[in-house]
Amino acid sequence: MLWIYFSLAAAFAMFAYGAYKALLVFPPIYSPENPVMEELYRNVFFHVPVNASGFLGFTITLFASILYLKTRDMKYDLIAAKSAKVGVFFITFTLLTGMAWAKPAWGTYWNWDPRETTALIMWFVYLGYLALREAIAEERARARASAILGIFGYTSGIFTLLSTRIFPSLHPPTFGLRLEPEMGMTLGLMITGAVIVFLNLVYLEMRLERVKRGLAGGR
Amino acid sequence: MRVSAVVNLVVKDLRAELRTKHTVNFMLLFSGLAVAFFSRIAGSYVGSVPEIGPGLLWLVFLFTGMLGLGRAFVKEKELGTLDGLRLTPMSSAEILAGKAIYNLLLMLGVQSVIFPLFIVFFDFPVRGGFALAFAVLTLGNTCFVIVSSALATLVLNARARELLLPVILLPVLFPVIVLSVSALNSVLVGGEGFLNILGEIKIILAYAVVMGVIAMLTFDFALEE
Amino acid sequence: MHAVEIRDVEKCFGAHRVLRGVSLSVAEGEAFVLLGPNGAGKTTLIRIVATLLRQDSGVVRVLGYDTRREAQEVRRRIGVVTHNPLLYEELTARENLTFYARAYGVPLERIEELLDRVELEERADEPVSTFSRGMKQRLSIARALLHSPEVLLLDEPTTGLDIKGRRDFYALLGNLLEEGVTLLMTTHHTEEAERLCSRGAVLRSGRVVAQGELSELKASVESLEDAYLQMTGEEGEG
Repeated sequence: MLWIYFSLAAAFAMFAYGAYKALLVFPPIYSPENPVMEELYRNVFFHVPVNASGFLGFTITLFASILYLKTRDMKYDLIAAKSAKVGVFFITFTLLTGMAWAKPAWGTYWNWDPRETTALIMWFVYLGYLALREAIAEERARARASAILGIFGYTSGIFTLLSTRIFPSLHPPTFGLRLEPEMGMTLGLMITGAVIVFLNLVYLEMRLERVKRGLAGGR
Repeated sequence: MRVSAVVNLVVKDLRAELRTKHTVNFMLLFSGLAVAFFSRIAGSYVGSVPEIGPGLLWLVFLFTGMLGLGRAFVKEKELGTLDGLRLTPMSSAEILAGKAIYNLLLMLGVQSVIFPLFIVFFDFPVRGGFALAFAVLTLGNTCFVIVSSALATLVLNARARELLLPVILLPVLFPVIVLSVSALNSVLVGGEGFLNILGEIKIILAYAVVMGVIAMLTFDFALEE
Repeated sequence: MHAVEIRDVEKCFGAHRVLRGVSLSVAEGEAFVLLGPNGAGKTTLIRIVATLLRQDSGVVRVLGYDTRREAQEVRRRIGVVTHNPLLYEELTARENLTFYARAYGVPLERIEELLDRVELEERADEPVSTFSRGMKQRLSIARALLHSPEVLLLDEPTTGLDIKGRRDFYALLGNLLEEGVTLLMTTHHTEEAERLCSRGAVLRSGRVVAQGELSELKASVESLEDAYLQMTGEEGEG
């Protein structure tokens, strides 16, 4: 358990340091073509880390689902389930920070921009995934059905991104954002922090589930 | 995959359905009602902004399909005959293909009635080729039946499966719906030809193939108990 | 080689352990009966042997084929009759059999032969929904025999049949046994089972509590029914 305290402490330190830099230290960016960007760009330091962690979660769910069907080891089912749950939680923040950005930058909270669309649809896919899990009582049947949905859902997410690509996008390209080196470092630090928090949450959720099962008299 | 086994299953389902017509009558009735209601509520707006039309049409197909298509498996599950199917040496891929084709035939039946009805009810301008629009709809419905046949089995052991199926199906279908509505708009309203909707067609086709392959690969597990 | 060989089979539904290490074997050409109270795991065991359910651990072989890895091979060689006849109500008897015959790749002539055998040729072109319980169960037997299975699995096949229906049904099973078909069945009707079967096992809470010749199983007591009640600790459950 000790390493959880350490890693969480480290992650919070990274995040706090990053947030301090992002909000208080970095100067405004003057952008003649988009004057509202001046202070607004600071949103990136929160939006990108939670988004990266959320999609990491869905990707873990995909691989854990495939591994479950291959091995039928319930461990992978647990990983898939908890990763999806925490992923949905993170993507909720992605959507909120995204909307907070979109209103001043593009005029409306919601624009059906390709990335927004993909995040929203994936959010729905994994909420559906969690709903399916809730609705099946028998654990093997639940594991099988949700693993299959985990594979379908992720693939559909890829197609959602692909399908929206043929329409023009407002969103800045992910890897094209020009940041000062120090800002880039800070962003990297915050992404690392968010991912560590994410992994710890998944781990704790898994432990919690095992404890619950133990109390319920299983094993 | 043995074609004869697939055909046998399709013939069995069609024969049973045509004897009672429970599902197909219900689907036609429901979709007809939906078109009539949409026409009353939004008909005049569609007159001035025809781009709304194809989206409404797809909504009708979606709701009709989600209510009707799940039946192909749910019925076998409820009557217990799913065990009978699984006891035969038919592979799960053959069972899936049979059910998907049967579902597609149902949707084509609905489509052949509802699409013309829609054009009449909304006095919808058909600027491009009717046949091309029909083909686009068919392609979209093909994706729809592949995914819905595969996912319908996931809710068989679930509580409140009728509620659950749309919730897991809609987001997975999202790309097909958006693309096919866009292609339909280009053809019907924009009067454009095949080459101008090739971008959409390609992605829809790729989606159908990829989802079909995943369905075939995972269906063994889906049918297990 | 055993017709059915079950070794250390375990199956859980959630936290509920339905089968806890069941082992038994059925010789080729014999009739074997599984006895036990409701909830003992008989149906689960039959479904596992029939490839409809996967065991969590342990091995099941039917005529040497593993039910998990060689399910298709097993399915070609077994017939299954349960209290659910596995028939399509809207279709006629003949259409039902035609569907299954094609699914098994059996020539359609076989249908007439079986309709004759289960004495349904006169009603063959009427929808199954108009059939009585006994007729459905006879048609179900015909369905299960289409592909001439070597092993027949029967799970409470006589539930809901009247006395005559049950007698006819057991007469048919007797004929099959003479033809060399292996029977593995569960039933509550111990008397009929006794007449047909030579060996059996008693299941209780997912365990085999006794296995062997039926005559041995009941040696110490008056009747098989008493032996059954004694072993399962059941009162009044029959």
